[in-house]
Amino acid sequence: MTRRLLLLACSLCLLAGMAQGVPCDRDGDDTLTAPELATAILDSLDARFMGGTVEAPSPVDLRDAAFIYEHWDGRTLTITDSSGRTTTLSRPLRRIALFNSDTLEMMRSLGLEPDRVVGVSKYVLEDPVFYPEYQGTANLGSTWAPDYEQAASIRPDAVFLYATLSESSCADIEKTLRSIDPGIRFFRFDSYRPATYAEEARTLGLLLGKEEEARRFLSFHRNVTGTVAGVVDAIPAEDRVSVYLESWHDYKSAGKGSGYDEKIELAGGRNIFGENPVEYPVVDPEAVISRNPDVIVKIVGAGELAFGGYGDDDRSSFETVCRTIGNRPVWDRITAVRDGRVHIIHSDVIGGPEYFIGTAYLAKWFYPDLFTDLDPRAVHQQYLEEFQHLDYDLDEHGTFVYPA
Amino acid sequence: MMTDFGREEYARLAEKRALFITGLILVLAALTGIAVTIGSAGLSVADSYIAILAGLFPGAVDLPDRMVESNAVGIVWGWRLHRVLFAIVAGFGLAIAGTVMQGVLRNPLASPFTLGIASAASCGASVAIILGAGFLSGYLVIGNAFLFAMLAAGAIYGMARLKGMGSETMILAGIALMYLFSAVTSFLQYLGTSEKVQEVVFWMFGSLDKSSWPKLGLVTVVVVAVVPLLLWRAWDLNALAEGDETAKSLGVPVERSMAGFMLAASLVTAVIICFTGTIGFIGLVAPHITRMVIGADHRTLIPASGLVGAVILLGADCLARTVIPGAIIPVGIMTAFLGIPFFVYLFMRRRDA
Amino acid sequence: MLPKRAVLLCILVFVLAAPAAAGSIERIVTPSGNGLDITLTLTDIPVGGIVETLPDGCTWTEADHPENRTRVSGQQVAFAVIGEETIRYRVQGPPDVAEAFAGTWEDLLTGESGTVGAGEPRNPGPGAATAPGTPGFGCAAAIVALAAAYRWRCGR
Repeated sequence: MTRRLLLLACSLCLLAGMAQGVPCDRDGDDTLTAPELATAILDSLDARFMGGTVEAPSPVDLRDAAFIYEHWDGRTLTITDSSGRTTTLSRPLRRIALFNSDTLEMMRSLGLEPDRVVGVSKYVLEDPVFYPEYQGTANLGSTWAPDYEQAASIRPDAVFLYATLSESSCADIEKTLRSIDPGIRFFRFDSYRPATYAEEARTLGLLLGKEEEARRFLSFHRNVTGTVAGVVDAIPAEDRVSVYLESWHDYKSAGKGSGYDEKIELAGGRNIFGENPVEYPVVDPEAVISRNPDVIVKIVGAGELAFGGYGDDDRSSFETVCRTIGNRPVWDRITAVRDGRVHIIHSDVIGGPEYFIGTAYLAKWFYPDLFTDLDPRAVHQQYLEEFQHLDYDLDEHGTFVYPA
Repeated sequence: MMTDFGREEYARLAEKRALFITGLILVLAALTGIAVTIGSAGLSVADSYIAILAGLFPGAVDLPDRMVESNAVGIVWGWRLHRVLFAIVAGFGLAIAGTVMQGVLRNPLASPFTLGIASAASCGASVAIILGAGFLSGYLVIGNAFLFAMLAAGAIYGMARLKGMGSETMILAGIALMYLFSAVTSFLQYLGTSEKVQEVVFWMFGSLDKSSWPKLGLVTVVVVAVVPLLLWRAWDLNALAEGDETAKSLGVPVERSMAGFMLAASLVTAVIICFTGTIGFIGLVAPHITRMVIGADHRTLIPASGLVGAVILLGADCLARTVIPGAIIPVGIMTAFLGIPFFVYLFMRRRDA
Repeated sequence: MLPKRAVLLCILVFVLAAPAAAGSIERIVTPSGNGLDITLTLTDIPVGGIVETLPDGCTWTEADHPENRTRVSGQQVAFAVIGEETIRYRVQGPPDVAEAFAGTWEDLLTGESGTVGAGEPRNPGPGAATAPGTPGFGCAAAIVALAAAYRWRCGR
């Protein structure tokens, strides 16, 4: 009972400070018109610079009103996140906390200002090469081991969680944080799944007031995925290249419905274990030999093969992996090994928000003749420079693929 | 005179028990006072206590600005306080469950987990996490963990009814169940993606992160309902501890009693670990320590070991939240570490016997 | 986990400013008739406010800015800017006070503020360039590193 009273008191305090309706909306019709905004601006200037005695909106209210007028048409914004939940916002998000680093990367592609982010997951803090500007931000732990006290003490107005990953952990985080601070809004975005990627970018753009940047980013994204799809869709099923994909665990492949299977398909390949009902089955090496794939793709970046990526410039470990695969007993009979079509790719570019770069690499490896004009490396460089705002030269740093 | 001597001895023992229990209550109170001030939000000690008062008497306390800004009241009442109370109740419950089981099975190394209850709960949680299948939609993991744990208890009871309610039977059945459920859990982990396996592993560590006021209420209700029943029948447990024949001759309905005690202990354990994951060693260590101090009379052993369990779990949780700044070690790992010096001590003591 | 070489590479990575288009306002004063025509040209300020201080001896005449976006008080005039790129207003006064006009502006979307005619914003506001941060926590959680062996970004 006490707790409920307390929650009520807290909510009332929060709501009082955070007007339920659109700020500076004088006639209370929940639409901020240009005259209403103009009056608010004039009142504020009058009170601050011209010695006026009018009751002026606070600077926070005024800035929020300007944002809402410019980006949300003067109205409250109703958006649906990737879990289907609808939220109505009457204020822009100024203090964002993210447990999902993929969404952070996507927001960065949309030009999100770093000072709007007040809390990030520990994986972001452990990656200073890729996330230099967030290194001083509060550490929220991970989805499985969240630091609730930190998350609460940074007073976020929005918390971003995964939509389809670790759902029970995310649900627990939401429940607990909501009981500490009922004013927090929760949003579920994946930001790594090809099927929902474009829609999420668009929604996030709207949410953050970055619609123009979202359009630009999505046209870049569409360019790449469209080029690949355009060529790949025309290839009949019988002519598709057969592919064996192995993750960083030896002989752990990708089965039906897994993310990697989806990406192989997007790149026009045929996964030799694509009908296996287990999502990540450990396969029999003899099965690989007998199915004789045309191309072998090996993923590194975690587990025993935790090297490569943005922080690593040494290609030799990739070469070793390539050679080891070729040296597996009897595997030299496999077409892929004989033709030298064994490729290594780092999980950073094939999983996560950069998946379309990895898919471009796959497409180029599967059909080098059909994709002579496609340069995944240039795409990656453009992504880093133009959208991730990183001064990172792929010619000098980072190992993501082998052979090039 | 012998009776005088006996009475003196008994009086001294009774005094020792009273002192022990009082001491435990004081230690528990002190630990609670410390525990509510611990946390990575950087609240000062004074702020934590003011926040508690402000929550108890909303509106009566004028909060300083820094506390409103840091949301001290929300943090203390929405996160810390129920966690601390949950540690106390869970520690209490697990300890008394362990005491009862050690009495029924006549084995001082028995614990709620010996009968495969922990493995069953882990299996249930794995099914919920990896397959997404469960009995209580919206509470998949909790529902599954509880039901599988009770299933294991039921299976033990069933097997014991078939083969006779001896303690050896129960332990054998328990070990068999433990292997069964572990195998299923491992198989599920093989099927799962890395994230899901990680979730299962974290669940099995045992942690108080997922506590909440409603869960605390539920567990408290169960423990408060069960403890008086156990105390009422504690004498029967004393008799059972002497052996089935002795107990029968003392008029204790052995089979029914054993079943009743097993059910009570399993219920308390299941209700706790379905929320926290598998926290081990409390049910093993707390009764042992208590028995060493105040003897094996279950009428005082049960509540006293409950208090010891509460102190251990709360102490472990305080350590878990402070040992690595910024991170919270799952409390089940901390209790496992705390079990080590205990076992070393037992091992050392062996030489004297 | 990233190999130790990552630490060396941190030094090589800089952060470019989040693209905060720096707004500015230029003022041009032209004598016309018995008064002055002032033209304010705005760059990159979609929603903002301007307060112009008229020099002594000048009196306000009119502006071609909407009335509900203009407010005159004494020697000061405030303009609410919503999408306009130029603001023209007239005052009555001698031509030699052309240099004595003063004004401040603020961009309500980026939080920048500045002086009219001064070029780059004097006060960049919170949405602008950030300095590269120091590498942060590192692997603090030893026990949790158990599960960190499973790189989260796997298996999609």
